[in-house]
Amino acid sequence: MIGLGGSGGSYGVVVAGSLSEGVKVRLDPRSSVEDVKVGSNVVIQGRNNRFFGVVTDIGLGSSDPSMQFNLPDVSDSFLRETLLGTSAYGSITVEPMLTIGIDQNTGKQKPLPAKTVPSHFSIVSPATEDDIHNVFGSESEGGFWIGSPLDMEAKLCLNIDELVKRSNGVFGKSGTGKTFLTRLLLIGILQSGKASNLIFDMHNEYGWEGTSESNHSVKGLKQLFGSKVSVFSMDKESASRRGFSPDHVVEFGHSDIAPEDIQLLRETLDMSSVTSDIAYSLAAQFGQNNWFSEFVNISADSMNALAGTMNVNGSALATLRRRLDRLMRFEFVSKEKVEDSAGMIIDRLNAGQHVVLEFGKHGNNPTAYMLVANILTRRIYDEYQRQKEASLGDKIKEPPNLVITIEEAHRFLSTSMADQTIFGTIAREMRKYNVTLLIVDQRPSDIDDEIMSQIGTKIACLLDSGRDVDSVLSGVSGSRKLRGVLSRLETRQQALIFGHAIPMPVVVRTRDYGSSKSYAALGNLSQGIGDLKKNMEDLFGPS
Amino acid sequence: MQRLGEVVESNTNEFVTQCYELYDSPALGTLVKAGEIETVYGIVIYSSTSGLDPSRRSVARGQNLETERQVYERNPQLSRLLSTEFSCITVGYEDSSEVMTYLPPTPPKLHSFVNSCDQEEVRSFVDSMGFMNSILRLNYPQCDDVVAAFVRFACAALPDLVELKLQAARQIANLLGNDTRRLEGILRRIR
Repeated sequence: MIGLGGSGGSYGVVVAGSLSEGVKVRLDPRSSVEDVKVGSNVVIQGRNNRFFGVVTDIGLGSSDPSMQFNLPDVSDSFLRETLLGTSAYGSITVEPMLTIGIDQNTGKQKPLPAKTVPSHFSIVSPATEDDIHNVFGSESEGGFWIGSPLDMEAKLCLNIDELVKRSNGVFGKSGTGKTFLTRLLLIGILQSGKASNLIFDMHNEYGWEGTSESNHSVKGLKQLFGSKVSVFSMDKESASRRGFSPDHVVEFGHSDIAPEDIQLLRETLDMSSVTSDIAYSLAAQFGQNNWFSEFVNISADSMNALAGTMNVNGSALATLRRRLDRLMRFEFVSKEKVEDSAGMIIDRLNAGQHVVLEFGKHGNNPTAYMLVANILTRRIYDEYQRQKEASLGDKIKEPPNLVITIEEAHRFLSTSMADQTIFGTIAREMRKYNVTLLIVDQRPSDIDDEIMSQIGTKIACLLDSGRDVDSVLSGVSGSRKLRGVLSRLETRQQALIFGHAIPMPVVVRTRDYGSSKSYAALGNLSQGIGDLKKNMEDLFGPS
Repeated sequence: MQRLGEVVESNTNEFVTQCYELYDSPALGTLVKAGEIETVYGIVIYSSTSGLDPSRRSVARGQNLETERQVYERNPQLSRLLSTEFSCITVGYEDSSEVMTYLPPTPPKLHSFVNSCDQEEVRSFVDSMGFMNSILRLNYPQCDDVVAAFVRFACAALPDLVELKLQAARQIANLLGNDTRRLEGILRRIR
C-alpha cells in the first residue's frame, strides 16, 4: 500500500500560498534555511491528503519590516537566538506536485497530480527514503535506478515502460554529463529488455570504452553486456586503434542514397533548396536506385543536355554535382554493390540485440554523420512500418520497441529540417510503429518546437542560455519555478528529470558509473565473461 | 508560602495590597495570590510607600543625622504613619484546584490575605504565558520591565527549567514581532 510515512524532524508549517504560486512554509526556529536546498523533496501532511512537493524557492522573512533598517544588536548571542525563528525567520516555497490518491482505473492508491494545496498549518517535513520509493517506485517493481534525490541516498527510479513508449531527450551544455546519463538510460533500457537500442555513436563513447571528464576510461555497453550488444563501425582503423574489433564495418552503395538524404544535407553541403530539390528530379529521371551513380558518373558535356532534358537550371545542376562529389570521397560510400548494412542492423534489432554504430573519425564530420544516420533510419522506418502493418494481421509479427539514440539532434530536428527528415517524422508519429528517439543535444532551442512538445521525458543537465532553458521547459506546468532549479544545477552529476517516465519533476544526482561496483550493479558481468570464454573457444578451440 | 499583606483595593483588572511591614513589598514581576478560598493570582506591577493620611505629606528629618537608619530610629512613629502598598495585575485564578491563566469572574475581596506562590503555581503560569500579552498592552511606562522581571522571577523560581529563559524570550518575540526596538529592550533586561 502506498502511504508516505514521514519521520524525522519537520521543516515548518504552511502559512500561505496558492496552487499557481506554490505554498509558503514558515520554518521552525529549529530549522535553518541553510539546511534546505532548492529542488529537494518534501512531504506535507494536509488535513485529508498527503502531498509530495519540491522546494522551489527559499527566502528570509521578518515580522517587522523595519528590522532591516534598524538592526538589533546581533552580537548578543541571546538576542540573536531569540530573534531567529521568531521575528526573523526562514521561509521556503513548496510546489505541491502530487497527492496520494485512489486511481480511478485500478482502485489502488497511487501518486496523482496535485489539484489542490494543503490547508493552513499543515506540517512540512523532508521526504524520507520510503516516501521516495512510494512515489517513484523501486527497482523491485521494475524501475530503473537512475540516481538519488538531492541530499538523500534513496534510489530514485525511472519507469522504463513509460520511457520507451515515447521519444525522450537528454539536454545540457557540454561537459555536464549528458553522455553518462545517456549511457545510464541505455543500460536501463537494455537491462529491462523493453526495447532494442540503435545508437548513432558520434564520438565513439557508447560501444567500447569512453572517457570520463576526469579522463578515466569507462566501459562501454559491449564490455558490460557482451553478445547482447553489436558494435558496427564506420571506421575500422579507429576501432583497431582503440583495441577492439567491430562486429561489422558499415558501407553504403550509391543505390542507398536517396534524394531525402540530400535534402537533409542541404545546410552542411551549403546548397540552396533549388539545388537540393534537383535530386528529386534526378530520381525521377534515372530511378530511385540508380540516380546517384548515374549522376556522379555523367560527363561534363552531358550535363547541359541533362539540364535541358530535365528542365532545370544548368548551374544548379553543376553545383549539386560538385557537392555530391564530397559524398563520394567518404570511404564508406562505395561504387560497388556492398553488403546491406541497414538490413543487418534491422535483423539484429529484430532479434532483440542492441546496435551501436560508431562513426570513428567521421564523427567529426556532420555531413557523414547525418548522411549515415538518415540512410539507416529511413530504412528502419520503412521496415518497421511494414512489420507493424503486418502485425495488425498477425500479432506475432509485431516488431520490438526500438529506441534510436541521436547526438547533435538539432542538426536533424531544426525548424527548417524537422519537416523533411525522417527523424522529424519519427519524433512526431513513429510511436505508433514502436520506434522512438532518444535525443541528446546541447542546443535544445535549435530543435523545432513541435518536436520538443512531443518529447515524453526530458532530462536536463545544467543549461545557461535562457533560450535553451525556455525551450526545454516549454509546456511544463510550473516552468517558472523549475527555471530556478534548472539554472542552479551543479555542472556535473546533476539533472532535472520530468515527463512521462517519472511522476513529477525531480532533481537527481546521477548514480555512479565507472567504478567496478557500479559495473557489477549495472551490467551483467558474469554473462560478459561467459561470452568472452565462448569467443575464445570459437577462436582457439575448447581448452 | 509567606504572607505579604492584605487587599485594600480591588477591581477586575488589578488589586492593591497593603504590606504588613513597611518596605516589605515583593519584587516587581513577582507572582502572588490573594484569597484563601477564591484564590486570585496577580503579578506585581507597581509598588509605593507614602503616608497613611494623604493630606499629610512626609517631611525631611535627617539633616543633622549621619545615617538613614538613624532617621527611623529617632522617629519610631514613622513605621506607623507610613505604609507600603503594591499593585498587582490579575492574571489568573484557581477553579476546582486548577489554575486558570485568565481573568477571574470576580475580583478578590478586600482584606483577602496576599501570599507568595509556590513552585508549582509558578510553573502553571510559565506553561502558558498568554497573560504576557495583557501586560504588554497596559498603558504603563513600566510594563516592559514587569514582563522582564517576571521572566527573571520565574527563572529563579524554577531553576530546573534550563530552556525557560529562551522559551519566554521567544514567546515575547512572537508577541512583539512587529516592534523589534521594544523587543530588544525587554530582551536586554532578561539576559
